[in-house]
Amino acid sequence: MRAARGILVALGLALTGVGGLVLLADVPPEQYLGIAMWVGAAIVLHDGVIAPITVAVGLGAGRVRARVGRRGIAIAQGALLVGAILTAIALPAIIASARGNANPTVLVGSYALALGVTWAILIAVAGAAVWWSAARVAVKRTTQGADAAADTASADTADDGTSRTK
Amino acid sequence: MPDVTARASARLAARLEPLVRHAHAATDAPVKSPRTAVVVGRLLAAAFFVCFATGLFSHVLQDPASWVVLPTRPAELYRFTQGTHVISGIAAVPLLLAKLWTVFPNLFTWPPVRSFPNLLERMSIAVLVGASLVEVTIGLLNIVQWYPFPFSFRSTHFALAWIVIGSLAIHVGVKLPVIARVWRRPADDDPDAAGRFISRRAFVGGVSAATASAVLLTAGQSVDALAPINVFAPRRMGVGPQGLPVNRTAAQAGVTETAVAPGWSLELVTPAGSRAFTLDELRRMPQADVVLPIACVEGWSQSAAWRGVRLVDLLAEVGAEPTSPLVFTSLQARGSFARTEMPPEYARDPLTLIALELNGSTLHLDHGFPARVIAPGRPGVMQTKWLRSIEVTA
Repeated sequence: MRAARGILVALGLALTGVGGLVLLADVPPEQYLGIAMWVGAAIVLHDGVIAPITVAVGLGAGRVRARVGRRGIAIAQGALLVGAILTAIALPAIIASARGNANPTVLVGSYALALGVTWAILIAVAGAAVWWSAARVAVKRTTQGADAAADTASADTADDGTSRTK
Repeated sequence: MPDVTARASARLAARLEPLVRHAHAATDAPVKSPRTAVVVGRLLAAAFFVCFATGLFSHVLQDPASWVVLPTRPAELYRFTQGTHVISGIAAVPLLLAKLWTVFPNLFTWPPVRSFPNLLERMSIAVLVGASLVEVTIGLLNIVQWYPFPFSFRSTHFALAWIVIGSLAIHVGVKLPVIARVWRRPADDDPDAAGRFISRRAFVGGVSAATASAVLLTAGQSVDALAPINVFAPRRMGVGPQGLPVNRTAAQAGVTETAVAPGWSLELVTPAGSRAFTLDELRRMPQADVVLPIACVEGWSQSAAWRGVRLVDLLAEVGAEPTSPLVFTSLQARGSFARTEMPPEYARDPLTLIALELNGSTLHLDHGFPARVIAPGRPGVMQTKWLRSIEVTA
């Protein structure tokens, strides 16, 4: 284990060093500041914007999970994730298309339209899943209410308990 | 004075500590376990490694050291490696964000730095995270040919690749005990456990779905079978003059007049002298038909049928034997690929043509009329279009 760790760290330092040499040899020094700013901005944008949004979405999902049912909310979260990633992939193409390109064989798709259709499909899937799941939760609640009003230890309500615990 | 700064920092620490602890608690969840981080991290490391290896191969093909003999077969090799490069880079987008999601609470630790090694580790992670995010971002921007960043793409992408893969190796080395623990110990956690934000099964399922959809909806620009569902890729198979996309048009290269000038001839320069071949002379020579792909560094590729003079035949005509790199010059005045070198292994390959026709008709101006190079296994930018001269050095 110790040897493996040592080899990996040494190898990593060597490879990073090659990157540094490439920077020194191939990249004009006046571009260093721009690269450093983009790397810094990427960290700030992720840690300060993207990550907090995902935390907020997660907290929101945790809050409605008991009402909606965990299957439904899981599918909705999955759909949101797919949509967010496809948006990240399509956004450069949409902006670059709007800016225009002298080459008519690049950016040949209708990316904004495709992204809109994708979101419509994802929202339909998520909506159907949430509706179906919420209906099941409601049915379970009523049957449970009839059987034993005091006992609320079903899976969904137990989830709600953990989601509130900090 | 030291007393004042000590008191000020103590007061700052007293303010910050509860904030940091609160942030950690607010962002943490049972799903964000070392196990999840290792599961996603493994896939991300695989994507990064494939991306790095294929990218390195592409750079070797474009700037070969004189002692390296490059493979000319399989003819679709570069098509495969560079298609894989862009596909694995796109797959890395969801995997990278997922990996960062699982470890995000670790950003908030108190004290922020425990020791000097801890400081180095945190700095290496900052480098890994920042460089990885920039690397995939500029990769995505490059394939749509949009350059909003204040640095050159090619050399920066290459330098950051080494830095990313190096800091990744350091990271794996530092975390090896955690990784080994996850691999050795049987999983005793419940994949269906609800979690605070999402269950682990839903998280892994969502990340898989996002990765699969991002790959499947873009890979059709290089994978024939996926072409019908190519929705988000910048290029589309079959879209372009003569049914083939173009990397750089004749107008962009500034050759719309020089390429159609009636007096055009291809000049072949050898140590013994030089000889000019007119288009008619080239057409009268024995013509060969080959099927070779155009495979662009931007990841798109497509196979096409080419017809023209075998380079070996043309060289034999002037009694030249390729032993050192040939120099191809294009009519285009600007651009880093106006002049390219071809290692002798490509020049000797019978599949390498001075192509005059594409897919059954005369080469379109955008595809390099009057004559272009097409060789097996080479990046598209090196398949020089609008040829002006070929120089054989001794």
